[in-house]
Amino acid sequence: MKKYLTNYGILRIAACLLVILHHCINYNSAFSSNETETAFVLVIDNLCMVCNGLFFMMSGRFALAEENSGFGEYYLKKLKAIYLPMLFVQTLGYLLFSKLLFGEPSVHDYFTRLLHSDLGAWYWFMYVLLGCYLSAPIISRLIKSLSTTRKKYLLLLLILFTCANSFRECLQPYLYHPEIPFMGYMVYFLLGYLWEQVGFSERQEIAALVCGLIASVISCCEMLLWPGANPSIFGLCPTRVLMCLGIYLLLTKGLQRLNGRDRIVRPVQMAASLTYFMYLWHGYYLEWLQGLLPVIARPGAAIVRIVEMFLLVLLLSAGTALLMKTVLNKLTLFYKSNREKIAKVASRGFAKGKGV
Amino acid sequence: MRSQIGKMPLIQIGIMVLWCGYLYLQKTSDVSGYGKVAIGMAGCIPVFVLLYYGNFFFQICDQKRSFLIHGCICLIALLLVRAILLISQIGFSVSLGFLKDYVKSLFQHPQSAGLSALYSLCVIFLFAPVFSRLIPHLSDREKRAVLCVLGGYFLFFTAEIFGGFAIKMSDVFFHNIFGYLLGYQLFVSIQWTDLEKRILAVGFLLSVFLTFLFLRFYPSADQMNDMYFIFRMLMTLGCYHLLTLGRSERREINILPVMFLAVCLWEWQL
Repeated sequence: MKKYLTNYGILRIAACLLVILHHCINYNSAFSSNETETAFVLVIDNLCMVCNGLFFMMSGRFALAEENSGFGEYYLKKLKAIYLPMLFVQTLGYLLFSKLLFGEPSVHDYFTRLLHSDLGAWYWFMYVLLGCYLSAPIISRLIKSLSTTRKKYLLLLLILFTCANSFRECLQPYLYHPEIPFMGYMVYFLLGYLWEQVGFSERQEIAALVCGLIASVISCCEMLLWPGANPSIFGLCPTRVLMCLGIYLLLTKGLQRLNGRDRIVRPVQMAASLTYFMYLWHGYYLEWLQGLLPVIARPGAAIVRIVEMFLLVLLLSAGTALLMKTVLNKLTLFYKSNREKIAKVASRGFAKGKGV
Repeated sequence: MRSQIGKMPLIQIGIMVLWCGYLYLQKTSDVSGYGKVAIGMAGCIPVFVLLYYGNFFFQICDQKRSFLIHGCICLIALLLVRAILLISQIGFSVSLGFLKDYVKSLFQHPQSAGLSALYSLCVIFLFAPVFSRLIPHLSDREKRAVLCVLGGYFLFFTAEIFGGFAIKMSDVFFHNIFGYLLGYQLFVSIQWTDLEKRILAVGFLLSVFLTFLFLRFYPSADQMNDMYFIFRMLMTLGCYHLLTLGRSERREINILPVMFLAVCLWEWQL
């Protein structure tokens, strides 16, 4: 049996909390009453924005490390674990929150939205990840075929193209040149795994951590002093990559000693297992609370509203996630213990339907 | 004598002549009906150059010296074309302002097909040491699986175009010339049975026919110019294989960068 990696569990929880906080800030930053409050909110939001990169790095770390599974088996596993629950939540979310989000619900509207990936803005991440997962078994084999020198070379190429992309966007924003294979969030998807595969020394990792800290300061300065000058600031930008790498290393390497400590493993494992459903549900609650929470015009109102919303969304989405996980677990257990009976009933029903 | 004939750059000259013809037709003629279909079908020609050069790079990747020389020639060709185009636009001067404009122009979107292909060549050169390792590392079964993933993705992409839906899947690493390169490398390295070869031949003919039909009768045929349309992809790979007759690219003297430079400048003159 594989040992649970507590450090990655903590990273997952942290990334999920940052996503929710970032979205709460997005919804409420307009309520800032003075410049100091606006600047404070901007800085916090900028730091929260490492969440996307962290999620991609973590997903890549585990997706690319999977060994000895065939292509079909791998895709089926991801479909069952990630995309079927997502479809279920999207359907349920549409039924419950459609009036709030899209207007009068209808079957036609649901399918149109489903086929245009339009069932909630926060699901963009899952569709980008779909492309990454599709490529993962090929990339995993590609990386395994490389010597350490070539892995370093690939890492260098990723850094080179990240810098080039940022530089180009600063000069003249336009779409990526389509011939570059690893661009956008794919860089983050590769980064975590590749970094571990290359095997850097402790000193080099500390250097990367310091670089991440410096990058955070630069990025915040960019936000406050030259807003809009760097269009890639939240996406594929060297400072963002370094910030993500810094936090990734801080949590995965710094907390490595927590792995195997029974007292910590259980709560972390429990909380980490809820994060996916929390992510899926939090958008609906944000929309709902947006119209529900009162707007008060006084200094610090935006910060208070952000904190209130964050806590409420956290509570509601964690509760829903817990409920869903319990129900799903019970259903799975029931199915496993009654598999033969269910198959018998299904075949009898099928025979009846055919008129046999 | 035989080895000298073997090194003649016949395929490259053929590809370049085809490409020039295609560019000339595309830029100068205002055609409709079958002319438009012909230009649409010939849209696969620019990909031949990238396929040829990509395969060439993949094959010589282990010969460090030769690989680096060819890569540098590509980079120099790109820098030269950009410099010539800039000088023709704003004139030449030895100043910091000119240098700044030149660096800026290197990051600008390439306006011509030739220049765009030259950028792609440089990217292929940079990534060749990484991608060239993949195919030899795979078993025959894995190669088939990868080919299925590639084909499946492009089929899905085609279905999106015709079905009018859009699952916003992105960042797929083979949604570019590397999809073609990997697809072709897999195609030539898999041990096909006779039956499979026949099926592939039928598939190729069917793709040509379907591409023709869509270009002729589909109302928004412009979408068909997308190189990631599955039938166009099959047609392009099949035509390329017929053109080179499975001959190894490394057996020819490489004159592509020089011809590329000429084509870019000629295209700019058009």
